[in-house]
Order: sequence, then structure tokens, then C-alpha cells
Amino acid sequence: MSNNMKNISAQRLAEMVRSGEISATEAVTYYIRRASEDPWGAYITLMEKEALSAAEAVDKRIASGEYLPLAGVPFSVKDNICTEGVKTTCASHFLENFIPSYSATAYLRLLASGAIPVGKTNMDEFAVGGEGDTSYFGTSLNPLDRTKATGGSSSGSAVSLASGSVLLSLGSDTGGSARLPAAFCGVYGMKPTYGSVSRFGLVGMAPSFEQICPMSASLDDNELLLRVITGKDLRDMTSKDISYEQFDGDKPLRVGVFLPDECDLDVRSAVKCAAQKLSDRMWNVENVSLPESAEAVRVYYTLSSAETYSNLARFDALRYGRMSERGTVIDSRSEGFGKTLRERIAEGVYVLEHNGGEVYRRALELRRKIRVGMESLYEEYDVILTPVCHTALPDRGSLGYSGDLFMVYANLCGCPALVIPLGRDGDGLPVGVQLMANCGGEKLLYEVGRIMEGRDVT
Amino acid sequence: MIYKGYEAVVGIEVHVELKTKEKAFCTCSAEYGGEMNSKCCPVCLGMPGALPVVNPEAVKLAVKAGLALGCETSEISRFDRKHYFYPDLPKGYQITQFYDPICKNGEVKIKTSMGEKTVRIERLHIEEDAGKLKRDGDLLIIDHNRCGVPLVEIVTYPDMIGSEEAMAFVNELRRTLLFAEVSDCKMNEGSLRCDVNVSVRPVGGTSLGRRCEIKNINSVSFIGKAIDSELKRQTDIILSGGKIVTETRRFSETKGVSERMRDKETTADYKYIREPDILPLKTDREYVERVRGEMRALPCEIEAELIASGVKKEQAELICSEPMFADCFEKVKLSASDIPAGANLFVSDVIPKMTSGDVYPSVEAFLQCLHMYLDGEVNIVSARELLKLCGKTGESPRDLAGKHGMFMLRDEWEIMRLVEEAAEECESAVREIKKGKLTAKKVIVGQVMKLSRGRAEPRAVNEAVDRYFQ
Repeated sequence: MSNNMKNISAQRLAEMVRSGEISATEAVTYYIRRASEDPWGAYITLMEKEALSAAEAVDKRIASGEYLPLAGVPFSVKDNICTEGVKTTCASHFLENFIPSYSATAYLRLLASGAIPVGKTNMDEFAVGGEGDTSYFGTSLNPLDRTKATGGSSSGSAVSLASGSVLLSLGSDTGGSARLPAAFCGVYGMKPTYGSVSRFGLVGMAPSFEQICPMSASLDDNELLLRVITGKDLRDMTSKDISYEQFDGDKPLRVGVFLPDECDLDVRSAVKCAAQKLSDRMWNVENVSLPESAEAVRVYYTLSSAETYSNLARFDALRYGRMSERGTVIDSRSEGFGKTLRERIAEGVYVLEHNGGEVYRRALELRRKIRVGMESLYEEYDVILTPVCHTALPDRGSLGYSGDLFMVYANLCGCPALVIPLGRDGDGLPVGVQLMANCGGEKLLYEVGRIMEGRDVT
Repeated sequence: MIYKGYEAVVGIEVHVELKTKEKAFCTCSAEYGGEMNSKCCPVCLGMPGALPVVNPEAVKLAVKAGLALGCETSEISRFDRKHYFYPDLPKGYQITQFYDPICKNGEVKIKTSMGEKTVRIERLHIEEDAGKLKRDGDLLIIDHNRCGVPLVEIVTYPDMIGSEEAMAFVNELRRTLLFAEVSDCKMNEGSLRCDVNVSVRPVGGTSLGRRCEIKNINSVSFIGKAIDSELKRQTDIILSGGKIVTETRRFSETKGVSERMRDKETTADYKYIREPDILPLKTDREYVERVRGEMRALPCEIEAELIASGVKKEQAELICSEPMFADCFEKVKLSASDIPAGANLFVSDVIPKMTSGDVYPSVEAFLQCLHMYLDGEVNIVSARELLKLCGKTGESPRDLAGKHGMFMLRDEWEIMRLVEEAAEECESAVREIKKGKLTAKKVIVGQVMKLSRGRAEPRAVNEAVDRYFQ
């Protein structure tokens, strides 16, 4: 059985479970074993008990004739997504033993579709970080090459997919947090249109930027997962039903390519190769530049650190969370929060206090400008192709802030962005490319992705 | 009050709890009190991952409050986060409307011994209440029942001079909001709380001095005391060559003076940011007009109408002091000519019962009683007695009047019998009348009234006495 299971897609597994070829319980037993033997540090908490009882329930529902789109498909959940009765630590010492009494809407929708939760994945503490190395529980390693960066903050989610202990994962993306690790670990990550997936139950870091994101080992599975978790939720006022732009195979698309000179050779060739596949279809492919590209990363850091300061103000340890033995709020925070997180909070305070909040207001104005600039870019181009990062697959600890330029636009503007592990570097390791479209353009992105992978349009 | 040639200039911030069923951003009960921490959920406890959802009822009541205070309503308003650390604030920030409040530019008309005056309202915005802290020995207990209860904060311009105007403002504001049915405005339960900003200047001056804020005063008379004591304190500092420090103070009810709490916060201290979890709020003209359509007349309007129909000013004021009085009186639906008499009876015999929490007569009973009095079926004493009885027993005034013999005596034979009885008892008066001193008839009439225990109809008695001595 295990050979069949290794490279199976979520769609195929769900079909097998629905047709009775294999039971959800059998399938899940296999994946739980893989997860429990995981040597990469993908998980903070395993959900063996929950998985087995969920599988049993799925088998009963199938037997009663219910149609379940993700019947028996194992998935992992980033540990900043609340799961009722299961620890949700945000990879922080502060929430080390926090067990929520409620579940995120996206998680509940996955359960309703028949998918089976296997475990809570490692991440950067409170999603602040780009390499997965700020976790209180240690860094997750890249299964493709442990000397290479895993990417963050949804590091464990990407690792759990790359190492084959699940077929789907829920990540989150505030400034590239789902897309960066997806690219580095050779899997797929979509940051959907802002508001398309409910944020209820996502422990927010910078709410105006982030979304819960589908991550997967294949492109088609990614689309299936998004379809299951998307839609308006009465518990999140910013969520809405999106009317997705339909893809018309007969209509040539206009493609903008943003590829700065400073990108390294492997990255350039991956993007160029992807662009070639599109111009081969006689589509109009042109080089473009993105608005305010000298400022975008700074705008993102300024605004997101202000929101991080605000969203993390609730952690005073009086109601939940780890109270310091000294019994004070200040000690609880300085002991419970890691250094990177404390620095980000301090930046937020500076941004909001300095010059009466002038820095914050200027950044808001720039964000508006960037949005307007991207809007007009989307009037000329249906999709925009960019690298994920300036370098192909960086070594552990070498990334720094420079990695964010291509990522932040989708978060600043709320538009969808899909990362596909398309190219290969000199060592045969994956090099991701990113596709962006205007809000509601998810279907375009998936179809263009399939074309770039050299597959027929479905 | 003027002190050593100085007067107090006052601006007030009023926090009013809206009487919604549910809290502002979750579905927990917003009812006052209850077992500690029995009315809270992940949202109002600020648990990680929980998100606020605006309660439309709170928006509606805020718009009603704004309309009652003559404010403009913004078509789009927005929510912001105001940050400060305090144990009773679970999220570390309060959701409020700092930059774009839902209502602006209103006014409240007040009357004082100095005459009428308009106090301008700068803004009215929606925000959430915090929890309550209680001490139990060494323990600090947080009760979260009040967390997230919807408030409106109403901010005036510094338009009031001295304690009298400030107290008149709070009373008029309270009355207006009670009539708009947006809050129960109970200062003792904290559903209406005032922060008073006071500065002083030489009487009649125009400039504004440095102000101090006295927080959370919970009765109108304490507002007056706090302002008067602050006037003295600040004036004495200035006259002795000192400077006023802008600061936040609290009023000590036992000492009757305010005490320093802390330096006044500045806007930057609160690190305001837009609330990213809540979309901008739309209250367009159509919505506002729909809400306006649901509202009843304001107390000042009802009062003016009553006075115009002949009701005494003091009585009109009393009737309009509580929605319950005005509602009840309005339901009576009197014809225009009966309104003053009705108001008289209502003020003397119904309102006191309502105020003291006694059982008071129903609208129908009041109306029947009033008409029996106006038609001369009962006298005023009986009418008042009947109102008391029907409140207690629930029987109709007519039945009660019959049962207790309260109807006016009009029967000619019966009255003549009483005249005869009276004549026998007042021999000397009879002698005088017979001598031609007709004024002595009054003695007989008085005696008849006495014998009938006031029930004999005076005109019928006069006629009977005349006939008797013809």
C-alpha cells in the first residue's frame, strides 16, 4: 500500500476512499505513521487521536452515501490556526500550552469535506519571520537538503508536504509566509484574494495583510483545497464571496514579467523558461516594473509591525498564556516572546509613536499608491510573472529581508499570488516562480500554472 | 459660581451604555450585572483568533442617539484601535471610532437661572466598554461581563460656564437619550458616566486656560461639586503665581474634591490604528431616515406642546422628565380642552405613585376617573381617592365610586332631606334667615355638605336651600 500512497494526489486518494478501494482509517494510519516518524521537525503537535476518530467518522459518512470532496485526505495545520481541544502554540513559549475552545472556520470546512487532520505544524513564532527559525520549538529542516533554508513562516506546513506526511496543508501568508516555504521545499502555495478565506481562528499577526492559504503537493490539489475553504463567514466581517474571473482558453492573455537584473542566474532562467511557455502560446509577454519597488518592502514592514504590535497587545498572560513566575505582565511577555518577535513589536511601537504616528501615516499613503499602481498594471496585464526570491534556494540563515520584495505586493494589495516550484537549480533543487493576478483571478493563476507545467488546460 | 473673580469653563465627555440585547462585537448578553464572568466568549475576552463582528442594533441606537442630539450622521464611519494596557481590557486595545465617528456636530439646549443656552456636541462615536476590576483582599478579580458592551461617547465643546450649566447639560442630555430609548442612563449603575474637563479664567474672559480632566463622575450633584472645587483649586494656584498642569484627576466623593491620578495622555500614547478586522460602516441617508421614522418626539418638543395647550410650565417639565410619564400621559389622548385639568390630576396623583414605585392606575382607569371628575360625577377629593384605590385593587373607578358611595349627590329628594336635617341642627341660622339675613343660608349649605361628606353637588344644594326657605 505504501508505494501507492507516496506520490498520490489528494484528488485520487479521495476517489479511492469514496469508492471503497481503501478506507479513510487505513489511509490515515499510513500518514500518521509517517508524521510520527518525521525527522524534519515539521510538527509541534501530532493529532493521532483526532485523526483516527475523524477517519472513523468519514468512513461512516461515506457508508451512509455522503459525497465528501476530500474524503480521507490527510492534512496538516499551521500552529497559528485554532483547533478546538488541540494545542495551538503559534510556536511561542508564551502559548506553549494554549488549547482553544474554538476552531478556525477554514479548519472546520476542511473537516466537513472529509479531510483528516494529522498535526499542527511548526512555524516562525507568531508568523514573524521568513526562515522558520524563530520557533520556540526549533527550526524545521528542508527535506530536500537540510543545509538549505526552509523558508517561513509556514515552514512546517511546507516540510510536512515535501516529506509526504500529508497531501494538503493550511498555512498562512502575511508577507510571503506560505509562498516562500512552498517554493523552497518544492511544493505549491497560494495566497488567495483578501477576504476569500475566513480569518476566524487564525491568530493574527497583521490582519489587513494576511490570509489562511492552501498549500499542497500538486497544483490541482491546491485549487481543490482553496475551493473547500473559500467563502463568506459570518464570524469574519472582512470575508466575502468572491466572484472568480473565468479562464477562456481561446482568448490570449497579456502577461507582464517582473525580473530585476540582480536576481541570480537560476532564478532568471526559471522565470524566463516560464515566460517562454506562455509566449509559445502566442500570448503577449512583456517586461514590466512594479510600482514603488524601492519602497514596497519598507511599507510592508512599517505597517505590518504596527499591526503586529497591536494584535499581540492582548497577550498579557492574565486570562491565558504563560504567566512568568515573577507574576507580572512585562516579565511574562519578555520571557514568553522570542527576540525577533520582541524586536518587531518594538518597531511597531516606534512606527506608531514616532512623530505622532507620522511614519505610520506615510506608509498608509504609500500603500494606497501601490494599490493604485497595481490596479492600473492589471488593466494592462492579466497575470504578472515574478521570481519568488532573488536567489534560488539560499543556505540556512542567509536570507534576510531582501527575500520579501516579490512577496509583499500581493499582501499590500490583497490580490492573489501563486507559487509554483517550476525550475531546477544546478543541484537539481526546485526554483519557484510566482504568478499574480487582480483580485478574484485565482482561476487564471491555476490555469496559467498548468500551462507552465506543460499540461493541457482542464 | 464665581470664585475670586474667576469662572470655570467646562467641556464634558459622556459615556453612555447602549441598551442592546447583545454586546457590540459578539452575541453575549449585554445585560447589566449577573454572576461574574458569566457573560463572555472568545470574542469579548480577546482570545487569539477570535474576530469582532459589529452588532447592527448598536449602530442603530448610536444613530438614534445622534439624531436625538441633532447630529449629522456620516455615510461612512470607521473603527480604530486605541491601545493601553489595563487588566480589564482583554485585547490590550479598545475598539473605538477615533478618526471617522458615526455622528458629528449636534447640540443640546439647556435652561438655567441665567436663561437658555445651546451646548454644541463635537462628536458622538461607538466604542466598547471595558470589564470591571474588584479587589478581594490581595486578589485582583477581573469581571468580564461588561467587556464589549456597546457605548457611545459624546463629546461637547467647552461651552458651559460653571457647575450649574454643566449639571443642566447632563440632565437634559440624560432626558433626551432616555426619550430616544438608547440607554437606561443609570448613573449609579455606570450606564451614563461623565468625564469633566475644567479650566478657569477671569469672569467674562474669552480665552481658554489649561484644562484638567476629572474622570468617571457618577452623579449629577458630584459633577457640580467637582467643578466648583476644581474652580477653587485652579484659581488659587493661578492667583498664587503657579501654573496649571494638564492632568487627569478623580473626584473623591467622601472628601468632595478631586485628586491627581496621572498626566493626561496624548493621542500618540494611544497609538491609534485602523481596526483591520472591521470593514467601514455604512449608514447612508436612506438608513438614517428609516431610523428617524422609528423615533418618537423629543422631550423638549413634547414639553413645548404641553405648555402651548395650557399646561403649567412646572407640570409640563415634570411630565417630560421621564419617558414613562410622558408616554403614559400621551396615551391618555385627551381632547384639547381637558389637557390642563388632566395634567393637574396626572401630576398630583399619578406621577408620585410612578416615582415611588407604587401600583399606579391604568390609562383607561385614569381616563375614566378624569372624565367622572370633569363631568361633575365625583369631586376632586373622590377623584384622587379613586385613583389611589383603582391602582391598588384594579377595579374600575366607576365601580369603586359606586361601592364607596363617592358619586356626587344630585338626587333632589335626598338633598332636601339633608337640608331639613341641617335646618334642624342649625336653629340660630334658620332664625336669622327668617329675619331676612340671607347670607346665613351659607351655614345651612355648609352643614349639608358636611352631612353628605362633601358628596352633595353644591349647585343642587344651593337650589334646595333656596326652595326650603321660599
